[in-house]
Amino acid sequence: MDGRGFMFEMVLSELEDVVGRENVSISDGERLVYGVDYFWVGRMWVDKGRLPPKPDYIVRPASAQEVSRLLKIANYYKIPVQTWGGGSGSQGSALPTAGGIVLDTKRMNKLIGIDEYSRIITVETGMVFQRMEWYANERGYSVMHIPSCLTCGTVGGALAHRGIGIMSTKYGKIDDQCMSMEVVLPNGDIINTLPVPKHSAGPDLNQIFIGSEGTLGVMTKASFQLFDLPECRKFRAFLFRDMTSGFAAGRDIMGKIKPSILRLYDESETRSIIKKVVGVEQKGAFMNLAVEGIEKIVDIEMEVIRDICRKYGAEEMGSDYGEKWYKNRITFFYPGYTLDNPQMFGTMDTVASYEKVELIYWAMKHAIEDNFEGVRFIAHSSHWYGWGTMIYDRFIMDSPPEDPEEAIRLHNRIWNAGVRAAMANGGVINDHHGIGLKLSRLMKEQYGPAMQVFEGIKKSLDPNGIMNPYKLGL
Amino acid sequence: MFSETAKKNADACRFCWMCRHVCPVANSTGNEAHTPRAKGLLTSLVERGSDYTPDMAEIMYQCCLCGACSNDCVTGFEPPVFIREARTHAVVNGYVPPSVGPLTESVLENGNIYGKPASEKMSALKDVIGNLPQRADTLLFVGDAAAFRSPETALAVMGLLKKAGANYTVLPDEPSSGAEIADLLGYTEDVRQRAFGTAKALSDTGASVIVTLDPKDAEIFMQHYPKWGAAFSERVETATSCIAALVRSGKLKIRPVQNRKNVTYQDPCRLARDLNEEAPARELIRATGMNLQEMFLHGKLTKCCGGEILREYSPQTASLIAQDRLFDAKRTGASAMVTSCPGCTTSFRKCGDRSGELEVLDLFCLLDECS
Repeated sequence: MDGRGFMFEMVLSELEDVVGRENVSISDGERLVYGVDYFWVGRMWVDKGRLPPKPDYIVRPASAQEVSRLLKIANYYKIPVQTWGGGSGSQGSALPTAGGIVLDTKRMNKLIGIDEYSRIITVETGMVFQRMEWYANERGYSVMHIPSCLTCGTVGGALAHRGIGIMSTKYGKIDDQCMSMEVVLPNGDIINTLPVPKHSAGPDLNQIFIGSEGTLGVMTKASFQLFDLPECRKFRAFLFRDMTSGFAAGRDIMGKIKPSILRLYDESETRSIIKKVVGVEQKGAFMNLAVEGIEKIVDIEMEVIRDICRKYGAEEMGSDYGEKWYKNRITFFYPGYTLDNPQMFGTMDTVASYEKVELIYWAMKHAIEDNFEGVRFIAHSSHWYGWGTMIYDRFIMDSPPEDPEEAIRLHNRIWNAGVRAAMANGGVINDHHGIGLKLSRLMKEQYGPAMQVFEGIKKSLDPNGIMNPYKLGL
Repeated sequence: MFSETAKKNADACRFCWMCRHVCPVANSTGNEAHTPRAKGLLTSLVERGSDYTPDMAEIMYQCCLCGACSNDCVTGFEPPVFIREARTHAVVNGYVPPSVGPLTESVLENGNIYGKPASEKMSALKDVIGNLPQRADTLLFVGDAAAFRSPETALAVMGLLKKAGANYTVLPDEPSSGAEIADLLGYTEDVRQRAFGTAKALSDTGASVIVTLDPKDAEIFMQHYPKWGAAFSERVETATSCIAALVRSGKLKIRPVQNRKNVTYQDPCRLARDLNEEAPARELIRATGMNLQEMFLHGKLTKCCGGEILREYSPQTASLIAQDRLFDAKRTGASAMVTSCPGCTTSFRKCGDRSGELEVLDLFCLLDECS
């Protein structure tokens, strides 16, 4: 839809007819804003004074009915539609790389209701996640989805990329927490998944759309399980001699107890953390964990954890660090603390079984540090399961190439090397940031012939391929 | 184009998403371009060679300057710094949006944003002012918002001061503090020059205390005039703090209301966030015998009412913001919301609840009835 011929105006007036003139934008200023999300490439690009990709139209519907009418228009004219929540994703999933329409969901931000007896909250998906959490907190509950982007992203954004919060080890990922959804399919049909997520009525519809990153439709309402706010949350830190004993202790703990927070840092991250805690550099693998709930149960659970950690030779480091970390947990993402231009950086989180996870850690570390000069690798494991854990591994390059095109090529080579090392050793392409544009090219390598299942669903639901092109390998 | 401070703030905010959940405008319009990070991004693009355009200027006016973003920022960055400067550049380049134009024209012609000659500012109060002494220990500064939009609030405060036996006066030709003008145009040289004139007019009254009815005026007097060298030796006090002190000292008696209600209280943005004042209004509400039910987000975490100025040029957005806050108030179970800022009172009454479920009570009018 490049240019301003009369067809542009014809489509514009149809879009305005659906959502009202004040909720359609075609101004350059607004289009620029939607061309930059949290993806490093886009940020670097505008930092160099380059202009980002821009949509032709931005539309802001207020209801599923309006979304439905918009998708019918887009399908008729075969115009790409990129759904935008908070735009805070790191994988470039929301970027309008194909032009066309950006559908900003944030006017759909109403609280639908709280069923306290069943412990279920229902909201429209354009609500910033923190606001849903506040509605829950007001009544003494929590959704217990507390990611670092709690205040940045929307409810729909968390669902779209299969997000995770810092309490996931006890309370699960977003795909565990979501009860049901309303979704507008690309053809404009409005559907609902089943009222509760556990049943024997075929595959789980929720799980088809959670993680679909706007490629299969637009999620417009969602219900989540509520948890009682815990009576207490207690922290304890330990220092292990190495990652091997840290992983073993974590595995042992997860066989008996579910801490809400369990974070094990590699030696590189440990060095800087210990220096902050006790003021001296110390070698080893640092573990910070929290247990929460009813105090008398928590105290017993913490005793069990202490016994386990002693068994693996850990040195106890008290509760101060954990409390401080919890209080300042999002400070690390503010300007001045977080990684930012001119650095090149990326979080190539993967997840694997206990049997493979340490092998993957070393494979990724070598793939990055041995092949790319001036690139550091740090990692921690912060979401644990009965069967395994994830690795939140980051690469950091302090002096990347000045030339933006060269920087993009190097960035992609580093990502290919790291993610391929994970996949080759039994890890998964991504744990909780999603695929987006960043990893789209690697999806077929990850899934192999299984990719045809996704492709079949995509072809059936979105035959014109208008929904978020170039993302998720679809 | 922008100052070093504005550039530093914009560069910090352009890739930071952390405060969008508290932005009243972005949360109401659902427009990504209205978030603080979007305004930072556009400012940074201009600093990197992009043209500053009229539609960027329009975006810069979609902000209440309520300070929720700055208050939320744990690293101390302040989007209003570059937003105000962007507004100054909009005026300089002739990019003021058409809806804002009448307000800026009014500022140039009348010295206020309300489209009324300065001579009409105190017309609703002139009878009472006529009976006041020319010089007194205390000067009540009414402010533009109360004088033009809610004179009943000013009359109530004057009634309270009289009942307390305070020796006070009000300037019959009160100048503007510049607070509204600074929000509209930025902290321009013109605003600073006006500050010197206002400071002199206040000093010439010989009062030792200036009581400000509008928190915006208190904020500019206390926090900006001194920086500009337009300081005066008089002590500046908010009306809530002054009346609470009079009640505490026993000079002003408050009778508990007969019809006790559950009420909630709207902290004005600048009173709570910029002036750190939360307690006096609550003390006064309790003195009336009303049962105070706090909203979940209160004190420094308060939400904007829609804003005195935004309401003038973007009433639909201001109305959405007010309704969002009234929804918060209703969830407390209160039957009334008490306000202590003329801007809030007008916003909620004009844009807010029309179902009759929630009454909006001006704190000073309520106290006047109870004294």
